[in-house]
Amino acid sequence: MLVTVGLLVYRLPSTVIKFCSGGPVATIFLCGFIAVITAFRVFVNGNPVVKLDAATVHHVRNTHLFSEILLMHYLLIICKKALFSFALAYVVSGLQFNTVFWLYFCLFGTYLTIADSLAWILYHNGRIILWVALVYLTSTVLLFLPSVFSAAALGLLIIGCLAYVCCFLKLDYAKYEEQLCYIDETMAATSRKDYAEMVRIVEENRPQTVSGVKLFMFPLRRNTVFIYKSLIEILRSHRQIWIFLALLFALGVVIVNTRILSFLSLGEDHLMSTIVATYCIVTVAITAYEIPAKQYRTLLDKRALGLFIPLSKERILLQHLIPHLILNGPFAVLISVCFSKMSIYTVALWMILCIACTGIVWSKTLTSRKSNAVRLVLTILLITTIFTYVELL
Amino acid sequence: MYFCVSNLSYAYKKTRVLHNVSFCGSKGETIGLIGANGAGKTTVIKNITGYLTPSTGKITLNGTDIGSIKDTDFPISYIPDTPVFYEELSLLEHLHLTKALYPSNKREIAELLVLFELEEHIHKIPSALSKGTRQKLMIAMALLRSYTMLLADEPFSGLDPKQIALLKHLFAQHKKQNKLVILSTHLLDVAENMCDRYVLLHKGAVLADGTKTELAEKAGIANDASMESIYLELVNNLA
Repeated sequence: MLVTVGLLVYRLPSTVIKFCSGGPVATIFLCGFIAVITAFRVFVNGNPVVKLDAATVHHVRNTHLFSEILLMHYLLIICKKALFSFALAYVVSGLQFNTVFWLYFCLFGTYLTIADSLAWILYHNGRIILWVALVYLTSTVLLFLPSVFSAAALGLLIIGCLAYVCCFLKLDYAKYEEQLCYIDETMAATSRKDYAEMVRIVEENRPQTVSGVKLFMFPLRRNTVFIYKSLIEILRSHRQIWIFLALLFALGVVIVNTRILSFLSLGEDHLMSTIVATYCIVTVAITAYEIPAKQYRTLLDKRALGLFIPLSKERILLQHLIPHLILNGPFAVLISVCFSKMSIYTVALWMILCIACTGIVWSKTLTSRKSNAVRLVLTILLITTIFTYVELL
Repeated sequence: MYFCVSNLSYAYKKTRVLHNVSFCGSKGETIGLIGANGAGKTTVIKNITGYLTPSTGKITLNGTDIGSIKDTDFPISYIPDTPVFYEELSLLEHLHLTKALYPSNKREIAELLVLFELEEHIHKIPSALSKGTRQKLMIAMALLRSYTMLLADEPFSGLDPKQIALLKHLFAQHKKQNKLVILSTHLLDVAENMCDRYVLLHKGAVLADGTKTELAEKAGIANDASMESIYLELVNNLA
């Protein structure tokens, strides 16, 4: 990480000079990045676009005032998007106010506003997801075909979205108010740094029943029960963390396989790209291994507190690790495929990933100082391995 | 004696919590560990389960030091005062997990679900359960283990009168199965007539140990007096 920061600082002056000279940015990557973030905003992130106080919604929702408040917030969001689009277009045009700037300003502004409208529509009416997906895809295609026609078409789409929001969309008040209450409570607990309250809020808002695959669907034996429990924990873990890790991994792959960093004057420096990609992939691996490590520590604590387990620590560790060690196989293959390095060395990579995973989970049984030392050694091992694998082999 | 606690002392940092606590129990007995809040009941139990390590003294089971018994052979089941669960597993999954770990216990999950009236909650996660239901699940899990000795720390907490009666009945069955039960509680009226012997703890030390009749004699009051009267009299005598 220090090397990365050092190289970035070293490269910064030349990057600024390049910007000042009006060098154009690789816009296709920027558009791709915006499209991915927008897709997350519309289809995955379940938060409302317009965030009001829960009390405001409760007290004024049946009055004329409520429409005015919503309209004001909506205009504020459009202003924010306009400012953001202004900055993006300025970068894309090479810090110049030319035709390219105005074209991209219109494209980004309308695209981001459409995305917010779609997120708002989908939040209140999940049944029209196919229509929303169609509009999203159309607007994304138009974003990738920069022209006056595309900007005009996006303009028409935004009029259509706003017309639907104003005339046809029925707000789901129950869901909206409940979620705003949750946001208010969370914000209040965060501002007070009341961690106990935060944990209570999170626990209360978890799904109250389990669905899908259940533990007792597997052939449970004393020597296999924690393998399946570990598997169930993976399946039931928060999807946001996996999405974040997938995006980080994708970023690492894109950095090495494309010239996405060219606008930072780094693309020509292949070594720099590999370092950044290594950092991304190692972060993905360590964050993913933290999940079983934390679960194993919790398991040992609960075992001591009364959930007696008639197995030794080592047996529990082994059972707990098996699904994660197996999943390291596809992870090693994925790294190999994405960096075009599929060979016998993939097996070696898998073995080193397994050693790192086992070590990180096992380190949870050690004292804090020893645990940190083990984790440092394993992090260095992972960095060396991934860097060698991607750059040298 | 099957189980013996000898001169057990325990200190949290510099604060001494237990002072030379000694008592023994045989198979088929139900022993009441009685005392006010803070008397040291839970600390004694946590020393027995191995969660805490005694400062001095010894705890033996069938002549073997309890600390040297392997996890795989640990013949004790435990109902903790604060229920402990795997937060991501449902009620039914908890029972199946415990059953898988102790295949030699012939008790059926379906039987326990009916007994504790848990059927409607089987797919709920622990944080979605009421206090009483969580306690019932903890008891059901304890009963699914293979054990010769059951430690129950405030097991009646959160239970309704019907469930309390059921639990008393289950404890009585343990006597027939020749299992030792150590019941820690401060609810003297509930524990009364359930236990063969009582160990009265007061400020971390054993105030008295014996049957209800023996304790009444020691307190100098009539044999038919309630456990509450006996306990209060013994504490007052000490003052």
